[in-house]
Amino acid sequence: MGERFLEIEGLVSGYGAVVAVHGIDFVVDAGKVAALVGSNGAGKSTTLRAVSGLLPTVRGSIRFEGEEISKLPADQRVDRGIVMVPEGRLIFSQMSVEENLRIGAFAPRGRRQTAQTLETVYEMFPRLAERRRQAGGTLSGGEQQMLALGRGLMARPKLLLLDEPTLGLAPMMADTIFEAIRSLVSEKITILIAEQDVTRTLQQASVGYVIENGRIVASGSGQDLLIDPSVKAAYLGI
Amino acid sequence: MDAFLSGQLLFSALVIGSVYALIGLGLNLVYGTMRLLNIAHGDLMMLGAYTSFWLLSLVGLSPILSLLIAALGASAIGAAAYFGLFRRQIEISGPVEKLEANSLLLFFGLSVVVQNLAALAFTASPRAVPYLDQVFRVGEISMTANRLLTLGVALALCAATVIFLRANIYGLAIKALIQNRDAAKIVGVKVERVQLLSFMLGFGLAGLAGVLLSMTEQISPFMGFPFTIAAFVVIITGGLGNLTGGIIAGFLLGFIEIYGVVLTSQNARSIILYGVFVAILLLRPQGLLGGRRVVR
Repeated sequence: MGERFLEIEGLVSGYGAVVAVHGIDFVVDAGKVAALVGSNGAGKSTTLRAVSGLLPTVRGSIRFEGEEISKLPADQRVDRGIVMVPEGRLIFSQMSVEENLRIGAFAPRGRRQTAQTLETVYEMFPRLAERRRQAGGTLSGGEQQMLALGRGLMARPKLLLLDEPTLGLAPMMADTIFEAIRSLVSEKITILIAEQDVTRTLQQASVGYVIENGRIVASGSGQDLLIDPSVKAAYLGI
Repeated sequence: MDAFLSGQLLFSALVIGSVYALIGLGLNLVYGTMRLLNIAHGDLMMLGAYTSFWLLSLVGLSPILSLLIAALGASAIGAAAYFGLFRRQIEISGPVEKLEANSLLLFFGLSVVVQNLAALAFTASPRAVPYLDQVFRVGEISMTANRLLTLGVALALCAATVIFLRANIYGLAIKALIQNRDAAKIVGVKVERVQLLSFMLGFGLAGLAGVLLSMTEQISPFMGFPFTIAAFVVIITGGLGNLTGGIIAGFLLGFIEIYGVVLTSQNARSIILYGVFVAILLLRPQGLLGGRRVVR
């Protein structure tokens, strides 16, 4: 078996003494969308945060393009192309939209092409271009999500970690975000997504993992999981 | 009332205000990015003032050149303090409140050590730097060139810092770290490097302010403390971590001090300053210009 793009083995992680993920294994292939599915508190966010380096890897391994990265600090993972768009967006509310985007290109991989990427992001989200001088905190929830996504793209990511990108957004805004995700896939950016809109997420995902109580309890292609009776019962409310 | 409207007072208020803005800015950089309460800030100024004094009296170097040397020296002390004392503290302290408390004690220790070493090395006798102190008149206003120089340099340094924080990627990173530490990590900001930079910049600005003050104030090993207090008044009034708010607050403090003294008496100076400060904290605990910012 050759090297995988992202390979997680026996990952244990959590907040301080509270372990939220108890040894999970999964893989993500290059250029694909992988989805983590599960109820609130199942461990999806913890997993994404561990991959991004915001939370420590207590045990287990995270290999990215064949190299062990679980001990690297967050900024060095960004240097390698792993970029997180966090739940709650965490934009810089007192900085202008454009400053928010420019700081997204802090890592050397993005900094060299700041101007071009900025153009691309503004083309993708014209709303951000209109508001480039406005403070980030004055944007609506949906616009802030665009900003967080745009900021993530400024680093020229290979792997984008999306944590609840449409949580709390109006349906129209959610459509815009899902559309953006589709266009990213066509640009060969790999995506690992945790999202409460299970149906739409699994429709786009080539592989999905169902997490319960910090463990993976089912996996399969997005389509298979969509018709899986237990997934339907638990997450689709059917 | 004539005196109240004179350009003379306006000029004095601008000069002292610009120095307050400068020391507030330096303190804010260290507090904002790392939540470290640097009560040795005024002592760094004191070292800058002595740099100016000794270089002038021993080798005849103009305070204008001392600015550069004091800035470099104070930055080096900042780097040493970061690596020697604070980097580990920031890593291990956990909650912000604990880090603030620990840093207060560490900086207090540093302040006492620096003051006493300075007293040993330089003696406690007050010194002065006579430089560009001839009085001349511009219209109604009599001034000295060193005050004009102080105003010009302090304004230029504040402006340069603000521009750096807007235009440079490391400047943006400092602002990002002040606003949201987790988010800064997510976007790949090299947190350690930016913290070191904030230390060097903050300490360096204190050293520069010290050289400026050496030309108009009496120099002694214990001169720093009132300025530490003034710097804290400035950054709390402007909103902790709010850099431009702090600059405005610095000038505000200068005006309150000068006009307050004119309306009452020289003896009331401290009472006015701290009275206003306490009033602001009672009415607006987030700082006069703190606005929406949540002070953590």
